Amino acid sequence: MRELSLHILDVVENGITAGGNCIWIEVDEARKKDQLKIVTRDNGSGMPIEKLENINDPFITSRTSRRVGLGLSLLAAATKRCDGTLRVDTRPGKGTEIEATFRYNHIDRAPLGDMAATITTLVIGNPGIDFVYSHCIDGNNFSLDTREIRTEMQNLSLSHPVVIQHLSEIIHSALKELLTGKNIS
Amino acid sequence: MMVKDLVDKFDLAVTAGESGLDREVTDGYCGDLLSEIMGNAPTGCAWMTVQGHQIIVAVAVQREIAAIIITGSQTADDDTIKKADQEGIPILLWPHSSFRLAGRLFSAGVGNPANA
Amino acid sequence: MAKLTIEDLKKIKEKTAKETSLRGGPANIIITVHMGTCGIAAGARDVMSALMEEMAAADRQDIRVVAAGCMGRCSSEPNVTVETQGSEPIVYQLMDSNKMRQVFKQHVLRGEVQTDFALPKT
Repeated sequence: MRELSLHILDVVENGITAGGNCIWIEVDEARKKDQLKIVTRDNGSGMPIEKLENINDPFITSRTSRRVGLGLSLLAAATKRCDGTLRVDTRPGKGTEIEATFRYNHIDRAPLGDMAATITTLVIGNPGIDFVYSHCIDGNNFSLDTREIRTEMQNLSLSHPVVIQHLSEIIHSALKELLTGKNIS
Repeated sequence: MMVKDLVDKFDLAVTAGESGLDREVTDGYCGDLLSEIMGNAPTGCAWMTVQGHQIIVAVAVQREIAAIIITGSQTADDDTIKKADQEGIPILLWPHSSFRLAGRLFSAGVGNPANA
Repeated sequence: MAKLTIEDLKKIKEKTAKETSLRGGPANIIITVHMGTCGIAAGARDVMSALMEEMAAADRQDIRVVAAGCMGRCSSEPNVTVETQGSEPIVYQLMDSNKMRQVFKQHVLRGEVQTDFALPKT
């Protein structure tokens, strides 16, 4: 994909079909270590054994609408292109964790891109699912947990367009601050 | 034009998917970013790319691409050849740039609206 | 670890306090943006962003937005399905942000199906 945040959107949307109700997304930009790491985790039903054994085989897919399941394969190809790795940990009934690493400064490494758009798309598009998003740049952290927001919002839906707009602004400004080396506390 | 006609006309080497040489080519496309191909490649095109990883066969199946032409003296991985043979998708080889071949295909009428 | 602050949440509540009706009521219109791999590769996220902006401006309580997986029509992605209660669902193809805004304003808000972008009915 043209942005890594689109890979995140793709892989997480996939993870949601496994039936869980919470998704964790971690982005770690360790620029001084020349590494970018993305971890996604769900509490769904896990991947079938057949897919796990053939994780790099895009022809094995749980989808019935067409034969090819390309999301993970595209991500695997992207990590390989950047001297990185893809690790998939899945336990039937327990969920799946995907860790993708990239050499931060590799010339073929796609930009991370618009994380706010990815997160808000996930939130608005999947009303019954909670998301815990944390982003770290050189040790400075920001995180957002929709479970906490829901408690605060009480009777107001997280999918309310004004809430979504506000989430988007919060993410944009938080990431800007992290980039300037500010620790948000 | 059939894939076989491209092979003959432009002296392309056939490295896989021989069973698909009679597939119809109705357009051409160039690109190496796999997701971009997935988003935009026209059905029935001859796809020029420098990629040789087996995922190109999956992308070709997905987009109903007529044939893959690996350019720039790049080659297909063994897994790629296996998959392409299984799927009947021809993989052809061209030693020069995608640009040079695309120009020739276009001039010969492939994907050329002037010829429609 | 920094989190969404209480201040932020208060601001959101204030902005939405003007709403008299509760959200989560019955949805008369459901808009589905297909977010399979091919959809995302073709630009579905931009379509969703445009839709979110239009939703915020429209301030309607009876429209729901959902993300769904691939619908098996990969060559016409991004696909968007609009289902109005009492009508047949309309599948829009090859969407982008401009077309999404038009479909929202004309079809969702005014009931005028945009046949130019829609999958023809057999």
